[in-house]
Amino acid sequence: MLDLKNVKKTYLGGSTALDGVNLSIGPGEIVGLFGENGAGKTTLMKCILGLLRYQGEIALDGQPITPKNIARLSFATCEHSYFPALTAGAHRDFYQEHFPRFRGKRFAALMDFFQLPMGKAVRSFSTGQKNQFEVILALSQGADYILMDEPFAGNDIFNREDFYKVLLGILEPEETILLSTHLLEEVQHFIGRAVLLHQGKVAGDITTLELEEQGRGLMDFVKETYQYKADRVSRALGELTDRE
Amino acid sequence: MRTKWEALSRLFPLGWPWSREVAGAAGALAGSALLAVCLFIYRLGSAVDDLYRQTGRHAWEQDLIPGALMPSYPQILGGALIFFAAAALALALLSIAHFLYHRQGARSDYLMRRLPQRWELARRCLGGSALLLACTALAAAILFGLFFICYLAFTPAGCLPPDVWAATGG
Repeated sequence: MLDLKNVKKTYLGGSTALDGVNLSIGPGEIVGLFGENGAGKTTLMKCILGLLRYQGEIALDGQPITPKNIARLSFATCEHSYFPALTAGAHRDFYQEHFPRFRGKRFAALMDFFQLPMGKAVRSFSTGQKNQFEVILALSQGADYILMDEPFAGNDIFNREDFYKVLLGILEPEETILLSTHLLEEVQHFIGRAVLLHQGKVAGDITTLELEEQGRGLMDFVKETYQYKADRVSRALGELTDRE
Repeated sequence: MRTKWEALSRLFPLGWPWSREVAGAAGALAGSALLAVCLFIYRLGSAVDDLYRQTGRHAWEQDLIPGALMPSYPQILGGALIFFAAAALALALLSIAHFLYHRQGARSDYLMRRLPQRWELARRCLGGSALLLACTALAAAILFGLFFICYLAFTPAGCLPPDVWAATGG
């Protein structure tokens, strides 16, 4: 269980990125993390991974996250965390050396499925291939909690669809995914739970089962939670054209 | 031998052209040593020459000036080892480059910082530079000792200053 209690993060300039986030994510869950730009999604993930300092408590099965248990978390980020000058094969060797539960078979199968070259430097990959490789590493690390921050930014729709299918196919029951994305409609059938961040706070937290029971879609839930005003654009346009 | 090279590569960032850095550092070290030797020979030779006065037309026709003393060792040494200091500064700057390398083209520092081996990033960013820095310091220390032996050996008997380590005067 990944537990976040009253997690706060204020950047040096004084801006508050996280304002008392409380969240629990259990094993095997596939959680979508949504929110507008600047809502705190990336900051939240970086705090969980210890890449940023924060106030509050973050615990993995009751223990603080330290080098002893950090291997239970993996991270795929749109910023990419691989070594551009290294080949995919060299990355595999490095991961195998540092992560005892590295899933070599899964790595090979995914590399093969996405037809990524093993002997080429990653910097020579296309944007889509780089994203795929980033996610492959996160999935192959052998982590229990796989954090993904906008991992498919720059990938085409077919590519993304493939990935969702592959993900659902390969994930083992205890593997947990926390996926941050703006592609709400695309992932709504893939996730089991949606967490909405708004101005650094958890503004909504619902399972897709609950949504189904309520007869609502994920997009409706998001719009309601954010109190999205559908006539916002038409009113703004009206005002603009009146002025002119 | 191969394992030693592999061990050395672990002191530099992954994918970093570490063998080029080691070769460059070795070259800089050799250059520093050569410059230091040249500068020291010139200064020592000049100081020894100053102890003599010409007595004839030929260069070898010279006598020791009565009461003449050699400058102290630090004065003879002067800035002969300054090139090692420059090399050390460059190596220190390289360790910063090692850190920045992890932010070029991707954020591989994110991966390095979440490894179970807490010190892996620090080892790979500072380890190689520290080793080369130690080699530089060792080379400078060896030359410092050798130069002192030369200083003692080439100073004519009775011309050593009362305090060979005096920083000024002599």
